[in-house]
Amino acid sequence: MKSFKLLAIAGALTAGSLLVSCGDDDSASKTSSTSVKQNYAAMVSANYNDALTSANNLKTAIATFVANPTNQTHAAAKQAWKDSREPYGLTEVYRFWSGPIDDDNGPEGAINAWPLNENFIDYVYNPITHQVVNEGLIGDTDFDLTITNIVNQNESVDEKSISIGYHAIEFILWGQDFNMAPGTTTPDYTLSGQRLVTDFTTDALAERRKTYLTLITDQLISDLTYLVTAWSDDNAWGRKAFLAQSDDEALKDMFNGMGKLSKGELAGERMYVALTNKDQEDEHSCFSDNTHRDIVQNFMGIKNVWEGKYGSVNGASIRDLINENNKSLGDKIDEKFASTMALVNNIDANKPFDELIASGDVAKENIVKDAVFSLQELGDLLVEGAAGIGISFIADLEE
Amino acid sequence: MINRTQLRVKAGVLSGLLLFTFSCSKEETSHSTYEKGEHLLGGITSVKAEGQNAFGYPIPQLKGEDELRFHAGNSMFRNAWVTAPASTTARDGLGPFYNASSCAACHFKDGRGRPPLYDGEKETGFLIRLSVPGTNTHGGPLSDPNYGGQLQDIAINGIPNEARFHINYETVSGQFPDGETYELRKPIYTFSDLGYGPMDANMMYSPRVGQQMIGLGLLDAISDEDILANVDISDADNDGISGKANQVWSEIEQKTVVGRFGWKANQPNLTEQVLGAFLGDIGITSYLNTNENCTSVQVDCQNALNGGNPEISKANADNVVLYSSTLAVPQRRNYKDTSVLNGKKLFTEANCIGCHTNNFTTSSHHIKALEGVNIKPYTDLLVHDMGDGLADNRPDYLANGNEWRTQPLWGLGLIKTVNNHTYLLHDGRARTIQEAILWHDGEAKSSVDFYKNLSKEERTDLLNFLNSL
Repeated sequence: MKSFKLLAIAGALTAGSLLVSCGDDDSASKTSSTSVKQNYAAMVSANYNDALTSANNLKTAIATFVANPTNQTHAAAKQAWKDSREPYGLTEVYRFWSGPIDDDNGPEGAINAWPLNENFIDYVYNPITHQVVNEGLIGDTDFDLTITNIVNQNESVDEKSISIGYHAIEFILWGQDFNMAPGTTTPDYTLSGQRLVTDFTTDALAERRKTYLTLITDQLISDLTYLVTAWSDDNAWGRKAFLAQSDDEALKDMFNGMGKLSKGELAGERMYVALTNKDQEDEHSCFSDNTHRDIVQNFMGIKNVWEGKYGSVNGASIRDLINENNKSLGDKIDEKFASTMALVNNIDANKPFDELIASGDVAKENIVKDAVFSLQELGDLLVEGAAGIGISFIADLEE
Repeated sequence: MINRTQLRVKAGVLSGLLLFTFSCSKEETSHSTYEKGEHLLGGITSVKAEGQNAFGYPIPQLKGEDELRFHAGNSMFRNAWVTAPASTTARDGLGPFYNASSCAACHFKDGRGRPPLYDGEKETGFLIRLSVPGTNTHGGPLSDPNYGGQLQDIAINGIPNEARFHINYETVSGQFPDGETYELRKPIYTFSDLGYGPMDANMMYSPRVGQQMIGLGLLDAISDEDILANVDISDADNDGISGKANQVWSEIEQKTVVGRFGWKANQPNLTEQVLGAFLGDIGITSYLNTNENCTSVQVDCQNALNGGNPEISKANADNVVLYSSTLAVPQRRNYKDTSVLNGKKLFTEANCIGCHTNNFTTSSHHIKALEGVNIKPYTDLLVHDMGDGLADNRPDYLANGNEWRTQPLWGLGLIKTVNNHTYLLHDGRARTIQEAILWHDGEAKSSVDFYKNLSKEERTDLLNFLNSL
């Protein structure tokens, strides 16, 4: 049995090398930009499909929890939320070029807006005044809980008045993260939000809270479905529109996604700002303390586009284009990906992120800072690599 | 012994003479050809940028941690402050009184504010300064005892508002010598809903709109000597233009220094301008301004919860100053068009260039990339008498009620792209660049007369030139 497998692998390898030598023979081995953009479209499509699948698992877990709220079903729903963040985190690299996710009709703000004003959704406890403020949409019993009404409230007051999306679900599942156990005053960063299951059983607003949670989970599915549709084979305004662009325009979009996510968004907006403010509010998934995974998966998404690989999709890549143009620069970028990955994984190993930024421990801050600088340098290198193949873009955010 | 100041002044006179000689000898063509590098208004720190984000790019020289601090400063500049206490510890402490909840509310996309388009419209980038006759201990405006030095038209929950203001416009009609007519609008201000007693009978007020944020670090890096070199209080050169440097109190230096920022050049440096705006416009205390903006009669304001002391951390204050210092000046567009080149020539012939100066080299600055840069800001940073029509009749240090600082013209043609309007002048009364020109008077009278007497085509050329900046 074992030997059969080996034989099969050897066969596949030979076939692979044959293909390569054929290409070499007629000196057409150069990667075509067209195949790079086609491979990208296949990656995006597969990734959004996975994001939708895992969000459907989340929907199932939340339905189970809402039907029978126990500590166990609550924990399962929270785990399903974390699981569904994994594929979604990989998709963030498809932003920053006004594609289906973030053009004028794009659902980015509906899916992933943060930071959010918790008070806009549900009750909050104010640790300074020791008051519970219950002014949110759940607490406002005059507010009719329909998905249309809730969606209309999203960003209705300002950019923090978020009513829907992953982080709204996160807040309802976890509650505020005080980094301490209820009734104590000693900081404990290992704790995330400690919302009790009684918020979904005996609390006066339990029914409204469950309804709200169910409705916005459905909305998340609907927004992710929109993206799956956009990138399906025959979609005219999504996938086909991307492919119909000139190769250079499409490559520029891909670079914008990689460079801006690496340098502008991750290094700048999500990590350096959080480090400067030493404020948990500035960490991405602040209720669940899952920010370390956001960072890792966002980075891995960038690496995926660089290598042209996602799941079973594995084809022509930007890396191939740059290597053919300037192998030493391609190697340099590969090395930067490798060293950045180590630094990003180091954040994961030293989680939670809020402790790294807010505890005042310089050694912990430096764990984040080192990754920040590396992501910044990676962004700059991608700009350099793009320039080498005739693409000009800016890795800073344009706002 | 000749000191450095004298040397600089001499150099200034010399280059003035050279320029004069040059224009005589090549009168027809000297200003109608493209001069190498003239499109780089911010010298080597300029960026090529034309879209809605044109004012939002860092200077290309910004690297390493400074570049990250630019991002952090941008985040602070853009995001709204919230009422204290809040779960965000970095951005709470809005008000108690305020005009806007973020910097970007008044400088949208790092651009320009405008007056309200309807009565009561908030957070458009417009505010009104207040004072009563007399001066404070440093020679600056004396704040109103009830309302302070600025009317904030918004208050946090539970605190009574200071007051409301209303603007009505009166139409002023005019005609060019060639028969074309125009209409200007003159604003008339009234106040209502006074929450803290009557205003002083001799209250003076001065409306102001937020200005575009580009190139401010470069202006900060011009030496006092280079600004003073253009001063001509007694108009010794008989060109009708005097030019006065404002002398204002610097809290950082603890002395009176040359003023350069603000509509009356009443702020000595960018740090004090930025932190002054945090306190005055958003109600945010900082290491420089530690007390909230409450007068002695505004007791609720004094007792309101604050967002920490200070509300913006030193690190974040420094980041916003860095951000404000390093927003790059976009390159000019269409600078080789015949019409633009002709407009450039007319701009000089009309002696607009007499105040809208286009030749400085920056001096020392804590951001090294801003040093030694050849810039064309089209301002002398001096205050000039602009006539009775524009007067606010509210002295601000040495700037009298008729005097305004020469507005930098770089970026002028991009305001429409970035902010989707062209409301100009200190109170946004001008709806177009031409209206802004026509409001010029006083020291600018002969320049405006020159403009009015141009043919329609020449006027268009001059406007095309201004739009290319």
